[in-house]
Amino acid sequence: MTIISQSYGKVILFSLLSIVPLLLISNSVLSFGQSNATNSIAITSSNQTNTTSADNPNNEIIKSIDTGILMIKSGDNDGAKKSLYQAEASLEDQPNQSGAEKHIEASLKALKDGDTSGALTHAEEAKKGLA
Amino acid sequence: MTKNLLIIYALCGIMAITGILYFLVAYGEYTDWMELLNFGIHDETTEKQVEITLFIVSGLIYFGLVLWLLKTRFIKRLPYIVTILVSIALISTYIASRTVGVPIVGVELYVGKLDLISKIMQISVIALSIVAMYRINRLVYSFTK
Repeated sequence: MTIISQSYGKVILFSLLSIVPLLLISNSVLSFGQSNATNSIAITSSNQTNTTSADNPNNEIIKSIDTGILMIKSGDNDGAKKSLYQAEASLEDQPNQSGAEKHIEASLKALKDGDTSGALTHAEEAKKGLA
Repeated sequence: MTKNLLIIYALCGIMAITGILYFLVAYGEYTDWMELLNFGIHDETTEKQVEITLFIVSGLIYFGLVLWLLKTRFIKRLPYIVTILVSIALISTYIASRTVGVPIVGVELYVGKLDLISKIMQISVIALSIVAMYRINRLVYSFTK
């Protein structure tokens, strides 16, 4: 019985000791990946062309995504989330656009994670899917 | 403290943290679901319910496995085997969800921070369980000494 109660104490101690280095390692790895991704986003953004055309039925959705992208770039993550949710709501009854919808969801998750470059990448992909 | 006990305690600690991570992911999915409903998006409801249930059950399973290991005083092989199988199943499901897709949920495109941390934890759990199983005889000696 004494051994078991000692075990509980040690398990809790090791729980605390093991999470700290893992969190530190994962954060540094992600930061490295994030900075690399940011560079690639900057390149793609500079080469970006206007994907909206007058006869595209998805123009309103693309506009919402564009607004979201601008807001992400300006650092307004809450505003960006609203625009992306609006775009997703517009896609709700369009099962043939599930690819774009998945990219919008991914963009929202990236925003929630604080991964701006990931959010931009997926928002751009969603736009491409609708163009 | 012997090296064997160190491995066991690290294993239990990492399993408990993995369980907590699953609860955090489930909470994240719940907040996502509420936001979607606020924007009038209802077609994600089933998907979110399935995900939340899966993550809560996964977290509970990890805590159950820790309790099982403690109850058997770390000297039986079965809890380690079940731990390895559960971890492999969860990692495989995750890989499938990011590649070929899984029923109801489909393909998810984003790999989050918590996802990465939990997969690192699960790989550690598998490795430590295998090591602990090979050292189980020496472990019995550590406890009886």
